[in-house]
Amino acid sequence: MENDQPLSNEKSMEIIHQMINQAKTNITDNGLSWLLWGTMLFLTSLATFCFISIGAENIFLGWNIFGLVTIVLLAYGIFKPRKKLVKTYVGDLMKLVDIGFVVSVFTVIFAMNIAVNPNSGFGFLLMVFSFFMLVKGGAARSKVLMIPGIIMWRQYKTQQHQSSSITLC
Amino acid sequence: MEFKELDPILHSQLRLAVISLLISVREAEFTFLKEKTNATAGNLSVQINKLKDAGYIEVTKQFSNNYPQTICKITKKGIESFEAYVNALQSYMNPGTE
Repeated sequence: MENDQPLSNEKSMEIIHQMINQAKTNITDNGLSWLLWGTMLFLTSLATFCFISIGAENIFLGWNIFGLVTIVLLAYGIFKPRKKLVKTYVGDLMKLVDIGFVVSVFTVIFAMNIAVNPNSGFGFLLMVFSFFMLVKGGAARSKVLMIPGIIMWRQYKTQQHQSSSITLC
Repeated sequence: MEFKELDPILHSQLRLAVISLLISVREAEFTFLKEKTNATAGNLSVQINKLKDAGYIEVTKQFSNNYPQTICKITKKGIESFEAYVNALQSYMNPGTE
């Protein structure tokens, strides 16, 4: 882009629209973290199914490992050096959504290990996950995230019908 | 009908592009602006300095992982000037509506 070209009013408006759109399209997601998360969830669910099938004593062992791996990945994500070329207001908001999600998930998991019925707790986890997927999917304009988020909400309702109410000590 | 005067600082292709980018983000690095505007580093640097001297943007120079980093951020004066510029443009393009 040169600077000394004569600038018409129409050209000015075109530049403004073009640049604002350029900044908007910068909010992207390479999907790697979602693929990793999905794979981990699948393997953990499969492990839980196997534990139930063989009548293992601790059927939630897979989820405990899942939690530990998640903590390690989160720590790596926070502390790894990265070069961020631009900071957006939406990016700031999404960071807060990420923090809220992680705190909510770990609070529910902690509660499930202390006092809350695991079936009820799992329903709450589904609800938090679906909320997170809906918000992140909306920000990235990704139906691949939004639709499963809505489906998980449906699963949450089903889960709540099946499980008993939460019992806190 | 009286037309509003277009701000000469903003009525320039590259400076307008930089301000339009910065209005949409909280802050942006020099390389981001260079990539989005397709400008040369030298030209962009000159135009950024002009915007800075006019008080339209803040420029912070720092080091990140031993690499120099120039971060640009639009100021309140920059936002007001951009809004006034867009209003003036609209009054030129749609004279009947003002």
